[in-house]
Amino acid sequence: MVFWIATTIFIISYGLIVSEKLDKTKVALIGAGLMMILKIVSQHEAFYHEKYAIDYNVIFLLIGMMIIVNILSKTGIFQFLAIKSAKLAKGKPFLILIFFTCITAILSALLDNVTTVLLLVPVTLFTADELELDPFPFLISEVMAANIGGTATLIGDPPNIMIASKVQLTFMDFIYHTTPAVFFIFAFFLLTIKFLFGRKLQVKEGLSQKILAIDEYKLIKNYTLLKKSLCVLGMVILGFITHGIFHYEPATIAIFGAAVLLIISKEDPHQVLRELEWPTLFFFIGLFIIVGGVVKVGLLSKLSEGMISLTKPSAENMFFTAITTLWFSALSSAIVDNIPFVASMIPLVTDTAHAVLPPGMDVKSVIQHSTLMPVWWSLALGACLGGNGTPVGASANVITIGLSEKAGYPISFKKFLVYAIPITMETIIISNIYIWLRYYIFVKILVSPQGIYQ
Amino acid sequence: MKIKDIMDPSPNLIRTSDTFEHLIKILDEVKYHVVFVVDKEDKLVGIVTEGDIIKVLIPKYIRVDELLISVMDANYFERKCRENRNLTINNIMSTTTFTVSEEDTIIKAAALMVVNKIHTLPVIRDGKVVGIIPRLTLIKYITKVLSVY
Repeated sequence: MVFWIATTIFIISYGLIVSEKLDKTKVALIGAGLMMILKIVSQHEAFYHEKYAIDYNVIFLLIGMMIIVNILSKTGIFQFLAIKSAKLAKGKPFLILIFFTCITAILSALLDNVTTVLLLVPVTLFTADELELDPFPFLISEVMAANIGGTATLIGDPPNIMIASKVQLTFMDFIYHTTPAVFFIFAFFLLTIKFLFGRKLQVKEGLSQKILAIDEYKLIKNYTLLKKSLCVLGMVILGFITHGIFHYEPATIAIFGAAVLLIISKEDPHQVLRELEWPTLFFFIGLFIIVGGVVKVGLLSKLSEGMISLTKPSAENMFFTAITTLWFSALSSAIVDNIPFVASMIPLVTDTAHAVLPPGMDVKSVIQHSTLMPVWWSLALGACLGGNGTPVGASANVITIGLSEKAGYPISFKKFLVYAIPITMETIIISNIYIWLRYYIFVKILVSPQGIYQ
Repeated sequence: MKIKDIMDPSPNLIRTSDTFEHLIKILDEVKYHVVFVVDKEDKLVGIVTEGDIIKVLIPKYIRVDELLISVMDANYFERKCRENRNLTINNIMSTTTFTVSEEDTIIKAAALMVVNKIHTLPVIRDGKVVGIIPRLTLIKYITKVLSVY
């Protein structure tokens, strides 16, 4: 009975989130509330249990980074970088497109991609306006780059933060495993936009000079705040790089960095905290409790049995599980929000591993087993890159389309899909080849499969 | 006292198909810097205020990122004026229009202006504009009321 009640709450909540008929935060919180009121999970389990509770590592890592980015965004550095790069490109539109795309990818890898597009889209519209060009090639390239760049690091996209927290992966694990994939994907992506837009972007004579005449230093509003923010951001990134060595969780580093920046910047904490993405944070909290409920009643164990019979994983090889996870994640994340998808996929993959791997191993040895690791990387690549597939696949897409429409350049669902589907397919095919070559071909040739992650 | 007693019976009218240039010419010659937009049957469909005109000339991305104002091209305003010369009124006007009728009370007009933060109201009879009530008319009426006492 409890099993069916939990399953019903889970299905209705996810259905409502996908249908977008009700605000997703409201749905997640009411679903979580029902899980606790109906005693499927107790409040103690929802708040403190090792397997069923809210993942505070994810929540506090997001809060810490949101505070740092909020203060940094007030300095004008994002706009400065964009105009500086446009001047370096000598006002040539295709080169500007490439520079903007690279800046978006890099900032999305180090910060969150929603803030990145929120700050870069207006300056992109401004540049396109000055050059009297259609902003669409710039906007579509940037939004794709934001999702690709976010895939590269632990902090780049929420799915990675969630996977890292549950699988106890470090920032450097992502640098070793997803960053090289993103490097190849991004190189092909740049070639694709060269093919798509290279010849279309031509400007009238003299307009490039207008870009060169802009004084980009006017955009920096507060040099002192900028120095302090960059200093703290640099220290936080250094902290992420070394957190595995010093045994700190990423959330500890982000919250400490945010606290230091709040003190030294002298920004009003009430103002900064008011501007955080609280609906997103409460959406996470609600989802964690809903997923905790269905994990407890055994729904995801049952689903993992289906995954085992479908992909036939073994303790020695999970190739088909990895590839199925990659494509299934990409397809699902293109259609629905990747956060609820990943929230339920993590326990499903964990249960699959427990069922397939030899009994008697401790939890960490199971979730970080060398045969399982390609499945986690496939989940990260599929869920993050799949977000590019449709206008509603990722928050960055929704924000960009919204801003563009507000600025008088509406991007239709169809027009977005025409570019998004082939690019997403391309990125997933490259990911597929990467997973296959790196974890199943080169590993066989170069290293023993056991021990490469230990 | 009713609206018909204080309204100005000569409002400025323009059609949806008229151009930005035509609008500016009208505004140069008339008393109030508000124009009511009417369709082929002379029915009210919108309003153009000074704010609507300036909005057309300012890039919309500025509303999202005010920082960009500091680097905008010095000749942007003039360029946009020329570019929008033939823009039709339906791309400029606001469609949310509050109206009063000739038989309505003055307090209704005053309350509509304060509650909805508007400066001018069209007076309507059978969907057609027959007059205009700007805030200034209300102020003048206050003077009249006080002089009675």
